[in-house]
Amino acid sequence: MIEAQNANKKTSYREVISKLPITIILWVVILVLFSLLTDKFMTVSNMMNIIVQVSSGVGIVALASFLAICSTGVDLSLGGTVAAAGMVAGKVLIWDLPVLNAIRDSNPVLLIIIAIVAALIMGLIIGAINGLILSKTKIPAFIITLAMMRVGETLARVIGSGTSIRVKDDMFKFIGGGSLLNVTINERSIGILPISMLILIPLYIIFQILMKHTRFGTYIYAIGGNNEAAVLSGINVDRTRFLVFLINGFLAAIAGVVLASRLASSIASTGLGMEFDGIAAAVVGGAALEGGKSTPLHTLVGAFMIGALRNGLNLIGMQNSIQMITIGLVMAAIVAIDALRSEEK
Amino acid sequence: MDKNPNTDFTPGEVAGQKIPLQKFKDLSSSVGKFFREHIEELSRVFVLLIIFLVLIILSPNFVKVANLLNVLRVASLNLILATGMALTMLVSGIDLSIGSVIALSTMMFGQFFQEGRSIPEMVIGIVGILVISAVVGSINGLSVAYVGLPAFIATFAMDQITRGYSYYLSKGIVFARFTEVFQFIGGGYLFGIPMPVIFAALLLLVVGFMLNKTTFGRRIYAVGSNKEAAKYSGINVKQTMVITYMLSALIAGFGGIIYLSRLNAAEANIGLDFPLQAISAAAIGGISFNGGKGNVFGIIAGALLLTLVTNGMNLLGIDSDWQMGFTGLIIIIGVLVDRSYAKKKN
Repeated sequence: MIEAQNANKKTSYREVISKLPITIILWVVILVLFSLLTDKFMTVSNMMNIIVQVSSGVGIVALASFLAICSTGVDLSLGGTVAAAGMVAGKVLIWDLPVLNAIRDSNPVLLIIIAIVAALIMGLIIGAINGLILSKTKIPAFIITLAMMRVGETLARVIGSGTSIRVKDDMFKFIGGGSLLNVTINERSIGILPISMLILIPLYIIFQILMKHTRFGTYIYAIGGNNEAAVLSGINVDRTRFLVFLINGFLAAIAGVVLASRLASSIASTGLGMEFDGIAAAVVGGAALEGGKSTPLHTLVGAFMIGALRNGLNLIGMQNSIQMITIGLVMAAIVAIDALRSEEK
Repeated sequence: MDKNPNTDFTPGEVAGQKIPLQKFKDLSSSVGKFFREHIEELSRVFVLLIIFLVLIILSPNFVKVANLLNVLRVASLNLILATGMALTMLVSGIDLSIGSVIALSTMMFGQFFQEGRSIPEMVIGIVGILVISAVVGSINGLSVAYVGLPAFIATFAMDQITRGYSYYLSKGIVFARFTEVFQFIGGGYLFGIPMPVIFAALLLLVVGFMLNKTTFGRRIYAVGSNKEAAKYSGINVKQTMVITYMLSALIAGFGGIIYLSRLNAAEANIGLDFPLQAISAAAIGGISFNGGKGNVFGIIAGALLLTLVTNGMNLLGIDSDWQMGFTGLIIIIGVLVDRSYAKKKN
């Protein structure tokens, strides 16, 4: 009897472990490993560094990638949208138009708001075009968003009439680089409530609720799980897909503004490869490319895992080339383990 | 109801002999059938012709033989890469690693082509590039077919790994100034035809024959259309996929050699844009992302269309900043006119 109970306990214990996403296990491993390898890793300033890097970069894009992947379709236009939206914001801030000059002199906050709104509209337009085409035809998201990635990058270059715009506005820089609360550790001031994090975390919470507790989220999971079944059960698939890509454009635009603000400049090439980083984060977080899997919170863990890995590899002085290899291997390994595990079931 | 054998033929047909009117009807209906069956290919040819006409009207330099040969020469590289990509797309996969495979293999063997090296050394270099490409492709295939990784992830991870390794090997080195024999591969002419065009044509012939006339080609289509059905009809699905990915990378390596030779230099960051270019050409050419659909004529049309558009923009003096965006728009339009993606209204 007791033995049987013990066996039961053991299996349930093993079940808990096997149910833990591999990402969380790996995350802990990475944290422990790097704190053993270098004492610069587990410091408050470095942790905040990672958080700011992720929040103002791949974090928001990863959420958008997750939404696209979950409703079956990658969104490769995110990087281009980030660049285009960031450039729009930068352009509005420095544009030499009489109207804007007047606003710049009288009410700088209003100018920043205009810049942000303009950037968001840019993102919404790109997202709407994606969504319109992808909901009205059977064209795979891959090819349309790939083309839109080029369009977005071109827009960024044309709007910036060059490769970059420097932004000098301190208030705008505060969005991506500022912090609400600073503490002084070892005579260095460290922001422990970065604005970028305060943008990122609520976004993830909102989408976690949206995905798990609203009809919209249920529809997305249903479409990703089985498109045919979703159509037959009366879900408006076209509308949902349109909304997903519209939201993606919006999210990418937010990322563009935050990134331009942290870098204090809008750079046309800034989004290059960001869509792939976002996909990597979403997939590492457990999103299956066939759709219908994972949650925003898992994606967040994936984004921070890749962020922590990059940061740790930098700190131990690993060359960039070896870093690429390592991250490639880790990504393949995580997805392979997931694939093999689901095969066992 | 019993049929009278004597009346069991269509009117107008007498004892097996067709009268001329009927012959004409047969002919016209078979022409109609041909059009209906090949509407997609024909629409692509039509689009190509329109672009061709527009370019002729807009730019008098376009129809010059030198320019047309140049278009073909430029198109041939994308044609080669798109052919490899199309093979993976036919088994409903994708290969994002083709650019990095080229970078890695050339970083390993680029020095074999430099001035002062003998011809046997050059051959070793060429074989080396092809072998490395095939090995990387096989690993892609194994991880997709046997481990069960999604092709997108497996080849993207491979892209990062091989690109990182080629940066590691290069340490900023650029191999330049190749021997004249090696430069001939990508820069030479045979009977006035650029060598890359000849290579691309040969490759298309081989791949076209393989896809249409061999069992392996039929297997690729079968696996791409329906993996389960292919498995039950006795096809070794996994093996077919591994070989397909190997071929894709091998063809990429082949294209890489030609590219190197024409560029007369090799560095670690070449080919960053190759996968996306090849995918665009294949997609415009009607190679389905869901697998099992498409042929070499589509690839030719797709690669030519992209090159024509770029060439036209150059001739018209369109700013390079705008060109990328226009290419993007052309890709979207090219796919939008493809009837096979139209949604059926119930």
